Amino acid sequence: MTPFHPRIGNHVNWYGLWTLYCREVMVTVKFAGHTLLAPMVTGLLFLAVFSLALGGDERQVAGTPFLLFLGPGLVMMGLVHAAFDGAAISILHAKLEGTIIDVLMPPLGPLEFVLGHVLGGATRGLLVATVMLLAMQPFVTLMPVQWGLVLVHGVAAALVLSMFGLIAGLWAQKWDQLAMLGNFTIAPLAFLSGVFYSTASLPEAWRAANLFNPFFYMVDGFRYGFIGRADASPAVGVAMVVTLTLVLWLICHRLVASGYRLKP
Amino acid sequence: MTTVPLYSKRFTGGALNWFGAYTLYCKEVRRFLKVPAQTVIAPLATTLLFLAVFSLALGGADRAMAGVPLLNFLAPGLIIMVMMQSSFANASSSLIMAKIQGTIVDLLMTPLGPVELMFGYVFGGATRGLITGAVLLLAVQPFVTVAPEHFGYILFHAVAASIMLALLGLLGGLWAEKFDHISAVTNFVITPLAFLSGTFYSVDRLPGMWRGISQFNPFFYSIDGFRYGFIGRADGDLATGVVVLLAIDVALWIVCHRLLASGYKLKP
Repeated sequence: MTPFHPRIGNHVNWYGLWTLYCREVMVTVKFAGHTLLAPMVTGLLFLAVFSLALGGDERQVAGTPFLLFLGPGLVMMGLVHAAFDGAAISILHAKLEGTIIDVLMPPLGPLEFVLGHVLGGATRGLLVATVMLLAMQPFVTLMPVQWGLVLVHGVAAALVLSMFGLIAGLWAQKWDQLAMLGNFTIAPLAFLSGVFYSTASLPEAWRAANLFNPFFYMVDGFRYGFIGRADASPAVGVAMVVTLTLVLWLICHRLVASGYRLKP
Repeated sequence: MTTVPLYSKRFTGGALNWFGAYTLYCKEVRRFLKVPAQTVIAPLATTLLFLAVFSLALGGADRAMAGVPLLNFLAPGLIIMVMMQSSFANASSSLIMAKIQGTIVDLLMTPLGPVELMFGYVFGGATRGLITGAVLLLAVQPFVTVAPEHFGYILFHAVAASIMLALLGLLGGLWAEKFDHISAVTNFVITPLAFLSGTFYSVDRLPGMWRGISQFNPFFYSIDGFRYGFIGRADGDLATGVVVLLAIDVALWIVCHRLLASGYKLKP
């Protein structure tokens, strides 16, 4: 089959999908200073600031040294922001510049559109996570103990946030709207999801509210993979993120297939 | 018959185009007031998040820093940090966007000399910093009562720091040729300096060498002095701080004036 064969039945345009995915990743790599290094610097800043302000000799959280507790959470925060930005900025930029036509004209169906952008955003998130993990090694040795959980939560978080970014990019019509969405949903949920403190030390009401915060499960499970301790059950966390991935996938596919804010 | 420039000699003997400078200033201020969600509310949300995280992370252990409860120590530091970052962002983004979009011509064509340009950009950026700081001060009151003690220091450092960062923003905006340049400066210079200059912790906590470096860091002096106005305790020498800030502002002003007058990266 030639690469540009239109969709017949369930045939997926693999070549087109791969091209779109490569373009998304190349954008990340080309602007590495902005996409990869900036989150790394921010993560290191947070590490320095929080350990200087709240640390102190032998400060522990939930039986773990503070830096060891903080590190994975910060990596997850960087991953989450990067995945969201990757998809959202790509789509909003294309919409505002008019280059969205370059994605709508080719024989790429909703599946290819969503997968290309989502995997591109997820790759950006995972690259940022890797860079941050490496950058933190001189300060706190972070070695994954349970690779399964680390990978599941890392990949799932990247996919979930990338899909959320895709929806945000489709919805937003100005940069301000995207910034607002990021600042008032992602940032608070990420900050307050137990990255900097153990939710076990929260009052009852806050702790219950956190159970509805998907970031809590992602951070908790991801961190469990490093330190072997979690506030909630890791199994519940995995189920939660996998479900969220599937649900968001359906929403994304439906949105793009209907041409929401893409086609008149 | 010589043509008389329309505006420059309007209100004064021709020394300064006050009307033009004021117009540019108004434009800069209205520019950020037009998108308050991004310019004022967003830093507000971030700061409140920081405060929430710090108070939750204390977990009952009553932490104190420099003799005051941690939140009382933290809040003024966060306020001045936001003021500094906002001032820088306003001046730098205004210039870089004008350059990229080509609207810089509208600026260069007008009868505005270097002083008028600086008036508009620097004071416009400083205004954004000050307004954001004032809003923040009000917004944190329900969570941590921040009461001013030494108004003089608060006012001086707020204004001096905002002006300093607006001048830096002007410098950055003149130098940068793409958005990436200015975001690199923001991410790798301004933000680290703002974070690591004693905003979140007393510099006594730093190991010896780093503490020594703080003596040369103007960010440290403005944060320290501003916070002194609220909590009455300072890590560094207050008088030195005032002198350093004044000196930096004057020096940066002269540098910016020279660059603008020479048309650095603005005129071929």
